[in-house]
Amino acid sequence: MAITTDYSDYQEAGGVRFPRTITQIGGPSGDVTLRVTSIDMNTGLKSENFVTNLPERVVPEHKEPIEENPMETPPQDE
Amino acid sequence: MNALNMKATSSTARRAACTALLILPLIMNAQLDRSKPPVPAQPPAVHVGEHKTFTLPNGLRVIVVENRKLSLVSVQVRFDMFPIVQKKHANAIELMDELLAAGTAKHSKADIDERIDRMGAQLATGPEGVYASVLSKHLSAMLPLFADVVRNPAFPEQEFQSARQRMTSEVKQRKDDPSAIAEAVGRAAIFSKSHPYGEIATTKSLGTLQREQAAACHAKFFRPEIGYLVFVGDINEKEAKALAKSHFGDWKPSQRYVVVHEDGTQTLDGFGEVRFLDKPRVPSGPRRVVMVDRPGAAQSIIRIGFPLNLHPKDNRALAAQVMNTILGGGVFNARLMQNLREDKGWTYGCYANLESDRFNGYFTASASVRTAVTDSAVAEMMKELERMRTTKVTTEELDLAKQFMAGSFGRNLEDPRTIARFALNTYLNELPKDHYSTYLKRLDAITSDDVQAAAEAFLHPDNAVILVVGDKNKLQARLAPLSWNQGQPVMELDADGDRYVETFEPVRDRTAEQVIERHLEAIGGRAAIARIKDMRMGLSTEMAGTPVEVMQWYGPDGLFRSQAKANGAVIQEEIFDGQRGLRRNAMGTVELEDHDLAEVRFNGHPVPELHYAKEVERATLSGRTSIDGKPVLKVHMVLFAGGTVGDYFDEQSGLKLRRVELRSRRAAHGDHHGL
Repeated sequence: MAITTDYSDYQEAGGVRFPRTITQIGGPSGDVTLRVTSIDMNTGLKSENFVTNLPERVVPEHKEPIEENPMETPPQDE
Repeated sequence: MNALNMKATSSTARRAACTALLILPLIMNAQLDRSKPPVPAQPPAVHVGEHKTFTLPNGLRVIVVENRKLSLVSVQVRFDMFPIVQKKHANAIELMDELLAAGTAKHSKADIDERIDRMGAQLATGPEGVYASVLSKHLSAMLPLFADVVRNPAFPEQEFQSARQRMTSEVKQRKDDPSAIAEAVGRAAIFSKSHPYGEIATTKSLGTLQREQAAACHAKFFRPEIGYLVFVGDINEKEAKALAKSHFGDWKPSQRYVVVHEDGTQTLDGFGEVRFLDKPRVPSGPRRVVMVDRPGAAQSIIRIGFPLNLHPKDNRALAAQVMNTILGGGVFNARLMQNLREDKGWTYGCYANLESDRFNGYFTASASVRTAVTDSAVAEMMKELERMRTTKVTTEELDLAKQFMAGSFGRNLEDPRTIARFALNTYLNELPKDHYSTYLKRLDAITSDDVQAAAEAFLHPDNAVILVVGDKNKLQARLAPLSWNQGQPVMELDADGDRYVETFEPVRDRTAEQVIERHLEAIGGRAAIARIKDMRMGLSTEMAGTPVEVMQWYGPDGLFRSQAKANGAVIQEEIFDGQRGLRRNAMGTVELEDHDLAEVRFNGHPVPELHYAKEVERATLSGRTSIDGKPVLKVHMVLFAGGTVGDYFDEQSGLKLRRVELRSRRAAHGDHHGL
């Protein structure tokens, strides 16, 4: 699936030009046109502002599967 | 409709006049007053007018329909031609048609035109014959000229050059005419380009055509033993016999043989390689979407179709027409019309067309709709095709369709041209002699079971080709779910019906990295970008009519957070903490995995292009192409996380204008951890 994003209307903020109109077609939200309304820089964002609080990953203990070749398994006694 | 009309690509008035004789019922349908439902009419007693027929010793069959109420006589010669694949000489037969009245051994084009005008006559040529009409008092003066045009066209070099030029400019104009594209590419998509009905003339194929090929077509197909000479109007059998004998009696049959070579290829002398249609194409392959891109188009043309093995003499052909009338034929109450026009208000008209044809029948359903409702319209049209197969039609629908068809049949019966057409069709399609006189009786006997059986036999939504001529950027992703073609849900074709390939002019004096670097310079340079320690960006948009405010926070080291609010309430949030990410919305909270995680890693920087090296496995400069006429350079990137990204940079300003992200359908297989 193809997502096409068009960038236009580049304008400067804090010495860097950013596209102020972004149009996305075929994305997860359908067809959207976003307009930039504000840009603020260096306001002192910290990593505390980006906490996901995701639970610890529980990595299941990896066990080697025991290969049993039925050809080699001796017949079981009843 | 028959091969003649299918192949008609030229729009000259002469051709139109000739074709009109054969497609009269279609024209009458098109002129119906659609503001009120048709008034039920009693089926009239059937009496199909008489015709006389005899055959000349050279095999030319003459049909005479006498009608002394007219002071006109129309004469038509029609040849029983079988469709051929013209290969690299596509449109040679159409070129022959263009040149038939452009001069003979005896008469120049100007001479022919002047004589026709002086008699107040009409002369029209077609790829399968010639048509003329004249006041009966001038008939004997016109017939020698008519016969000369049929038998001895000279294909003058100068006329050939200008005819070829006319056809070439028509082909060029097709590129700017969405309806013409839908017609030509629709045929190619339904029948394939290696089928006589699917061949498309291109500027290239026309460029290789020579007058010899037009002459070879004439010699091959315009022969008395496969011809019909039809007189209609103020003439009787005896007069017709005398005229036919004196102007066509000495025309010798001369079979032109096609040579079959050892490798199986066939050639026609003076023409080159040809191939005959050996069997009709039938619906096959998965349902698929084909697009011809019209960047920025406000309207889309939809054409859903498939080929059919449906001969006019098939005893299910009439039930198939009743079925088609109920689905989307001439009646206003037709289901496609009711659904898409009356109920949804998406279009002025949505029509179905089912054609029986002695070589290869076909079905199409067509509509023109706004871009925004294109995918919905396709889905509704497919739904109606499916419903036709699965549920019986109501008595009301059945009766209305029958009344409509009986009415259009009855209205034309008195027209001598109808009588001639019926006679010609009976011979060409090998119909039973009483085919038309029993028409109303057979129509009346059709039941809702017959209609459903016809729908099952002749509607194949599962194998349909869905052609959309419209704005690819807006539609491609939305049409993809309607396709069952796994490998390539939406296939893009150009206006010639060839697979579209993005083409690039090679650019060798710089690398992909240099093009990306130039973008960074254009927006302010690395030093200025480095001064951004963090950033907050507000954006506004609208979703389903509701204003949505988005806030994005770009923290140090690629940390990212975004929040979307509608009516003051948070509707979605995304956070990336440098290692892991989550998305929270009405459906709950999910951890971002695979592509979704790669996406925030890739884009979670104020200037993502600065960090490409970390995410991009390989970047190549594809070359120069264009966006809306502006030259742009495309950088193609393969990501470590899988999938590819294409960035398009304005060559003049250096700025990035577009990103196209292709996600492979199979998600990369990573560790999955529930929350």
